[in-house]
Amino acid sequence: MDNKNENVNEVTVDPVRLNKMLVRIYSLERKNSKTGKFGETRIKEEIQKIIEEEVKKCF
Amino acid sequence: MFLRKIKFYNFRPFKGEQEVSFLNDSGDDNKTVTVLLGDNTYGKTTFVLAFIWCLYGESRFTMSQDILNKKVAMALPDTPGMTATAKVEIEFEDSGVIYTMKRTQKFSKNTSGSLKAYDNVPSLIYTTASGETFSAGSTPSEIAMTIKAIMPKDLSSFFFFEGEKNNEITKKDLGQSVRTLLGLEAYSNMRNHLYGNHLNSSPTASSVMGYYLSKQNSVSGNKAQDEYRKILEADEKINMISERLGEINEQLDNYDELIEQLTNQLRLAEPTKQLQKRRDQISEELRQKKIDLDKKSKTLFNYFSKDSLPLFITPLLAPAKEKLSSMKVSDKSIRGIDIVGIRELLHRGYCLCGTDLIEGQVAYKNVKSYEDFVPPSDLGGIISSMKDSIAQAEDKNVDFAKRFEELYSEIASLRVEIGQLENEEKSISEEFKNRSEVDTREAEEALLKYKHQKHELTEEKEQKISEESSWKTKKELATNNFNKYKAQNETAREYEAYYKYAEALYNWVNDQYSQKEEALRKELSSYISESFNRMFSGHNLSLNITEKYVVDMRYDENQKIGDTGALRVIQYFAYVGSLVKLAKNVMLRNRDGQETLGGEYPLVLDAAFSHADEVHTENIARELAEDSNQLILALMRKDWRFAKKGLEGKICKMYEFRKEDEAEVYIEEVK
Repeated sequence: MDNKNENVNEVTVDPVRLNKMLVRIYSLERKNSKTGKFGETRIKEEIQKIIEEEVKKCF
Repeated sequence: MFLRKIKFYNFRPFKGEQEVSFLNDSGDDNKTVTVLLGDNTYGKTTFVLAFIWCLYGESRFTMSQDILNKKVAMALPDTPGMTATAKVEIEFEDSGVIYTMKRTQKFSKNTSGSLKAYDNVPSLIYTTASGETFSAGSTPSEIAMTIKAIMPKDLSSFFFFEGEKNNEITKKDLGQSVRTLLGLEAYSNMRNHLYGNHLNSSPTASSVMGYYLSKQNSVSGNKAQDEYRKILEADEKINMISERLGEINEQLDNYDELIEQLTNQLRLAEPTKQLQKRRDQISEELRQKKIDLDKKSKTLFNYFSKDSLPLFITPLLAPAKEKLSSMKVSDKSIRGIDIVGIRELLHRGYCLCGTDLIEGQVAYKNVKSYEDFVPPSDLGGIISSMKDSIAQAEDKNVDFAKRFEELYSEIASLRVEIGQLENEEKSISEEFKNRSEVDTREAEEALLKYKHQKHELTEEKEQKISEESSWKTKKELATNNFNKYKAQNETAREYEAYYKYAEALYNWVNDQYSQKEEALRKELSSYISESFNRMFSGHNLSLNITEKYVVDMRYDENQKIGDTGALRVIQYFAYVGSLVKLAKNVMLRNRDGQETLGGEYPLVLDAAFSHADEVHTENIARELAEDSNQLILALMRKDWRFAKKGLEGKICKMYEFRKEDEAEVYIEEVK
C-alpha cells in the first residue's frame, strides 16, 4: 500500500488506519461468505461501521 | 477446512450408526494422515463419495438412488407413515469455527414393495470460538452458498478423489473456485460493496461510497444539491452510454468474428467455385455434343438407308463384269434404236436418210435385217448397257464409302469427346463429395450485410464516445461546483472523510486484486511443476496454469503431452497437492500481516494409486502428505505396502473396512 499520505480537499488518508480497515473488512467479507451471517444491506452497514470507527480514531 | 469426523447412519453398506474420527490425539503435529484399508467392494468409494453427497447433495454413486442401507430397506414395512432414514454428518473446522453439516434422506415403502425416496434435507450449523451456535442458512440454497464459499463444488473432485471412476482433470474454468479457495473472492465482494459494479463511472447509490456521497449532499445547501443532482444525472447518462458502448463493442466483436468466418469460408470456397464453374461448362458442352451426336447418327442412318444398296452388290459386280467381258457377242445394234423404231421406218416407207423403203427392194431388206440386232432381240446391246451400269455403280460406291466414313468418323469423335467430358464430370463430382458445399452467393450477401452493420455500429460508437466525453466534462464541472458549494460544517467534513477512506480502500483493491491473483497463479504453476517432477521420477516436464487454472503440460514450448494413465493421475495429484500447499502457504505467510488469505484443506482419496507402480505410489503418498495439512487415504492393502514407505511418521489414525456381506460393512479403528 502507498505509504505517503493523500491530501484531497484537506482530508488526509492515513495509510496505517487504511490498512487496519482493509484487514478488518477483508476478514468480515471472508467470514461472511463462509457463514452467510449478513445479507447485502447488513454487510454494507458493517463496512460503514468499520470505516467510521477507524476514521473516528484519527480525530 | 479441517475434517474432524464423519458419521454414517444406515448409509449404503454402513449399517447402523458409525463414526470415523480424523482428530489427531497423538500430540504430534506431523501426524496428519488417516488411512482406511479395504479391498475392492468393501465400501472405500462410498466412504469418499459420502463427503460429496453430504456437502453438495449430489449422488455420484453408480446407482444414484441407492442411499438407504439395503438390509434396512428390506426390513422396512409397507405400512403408511412408516419411514426409514439414511444420514451422513460431517464435522469440520474452518477459520476457527466448527461446522456440522448434516444431510438426511427419508424413505418409505409402498404396498407393491418399491421404495420411495423423499428429497434429502441439508442442515448446517456452526459454533464460534466463544461457544455460540448459529445456523448457516435456512434454505438448501443458502447452505449450498456457504459450503461453496468454504469448499467450492467445482473443486470437489480434486479434494474428494474417486480414482476408480477415472476422474478427469476438468478443462472448464476453475478460476472462480480457485480464487475462492485462495480467499481472493473476498476482495471481489469487498470491491462490490464499496463501489458497486466496478465498470460504472461512479459508485452506485446503494454502495458504501454512494451512501457517503448522498450524505454529504443532504447536509449541504441548495446550490450544492443542484450540483449534486447534476452529478447524478451525468452519472446516469454516462452509465447508460457506457452500457450501450459495452453492447456495441460486444456486437462489433461478434461482427468481426462473423466477417472473419465468412471471409475464410469464401476463401476456402474459391476453388470450389471454380470447380462448379467447370462443372457447369461441362454440362453445357455435353448437352451440345449429345445433340450433335444425335443429328449425325440420324444422318448416317438416312444415308445408309437410301444409298447403301450398291455397297451390298459390290461383291457381285466384279465377277459379273468379268463374265460379261469374256462373252463374244456381236454388237451391231444402233444405240437408242429398238425394234419399234425399225418397224415404224418400214411402215412409213422411207428411211431417215430419205431412201424409199419398198417391200422387196434392197433398202427395205437391209433395214428389216436390223430387227435381229436391236432390242429386245439384241444381246450385245444389253451387255454393253450392263457394263455401263456396273461402271456407274462402282463410281457411286466410292462416293458412298467416302461419305459414310466421314460421318462415322465424326460420330466416333463425338463419342470419344462425350466420354472424356463424362469422366471429367464424374471426377469433379467425387471432388465435391470431399468438400463442404458452400452457397457462396448467400455468404457474399451476408458478408456485405455484416460489413454494413459494422459500419453503422462504428459510427454509433464514435457518437457515443463523443457524448460520453461531453457528459464527463459536465460531471467534472458539477463535481467542482459541488465541492465548492457543499457545506463546510463538521458533519459534512466527517462524511467527506469517510468517503475518502472508502474511495482509498476501493482504489487499493482495484489496483491490487489482479496483481495479487497473477502472482498467486505463477506460484501455483511453479509448485505444480516441482511437485509433478518429484512424483514422476526421471522426467523433467514443464507444467503451467492457464488463466482458467487448467493445467497445460508440455515437454517444451511446443510439444503438448497427452494426459492418459499414470501421467494423468500424477498430473492430477500434482495439481491438487499444489493447490492445497499454496492455500496453506499463503495463509501462513499472511498470518502476521493480519490478512487471512488462503486456508487449510483436506484431501480425501480413494484408489489413488490404482494407475501407479510401486515407485510412483511411494512418491505420490510422500508428496501429498507433505503438501496437505490433512490426508485421508482409503486404499487397498496391496497399495498400502508401497504407500506406507512414503508416509512414515505421518499416520495419526488407521481404520479398516470389515465386511459382513454386501449390505453390511463396518469401519473399525486399528489400534
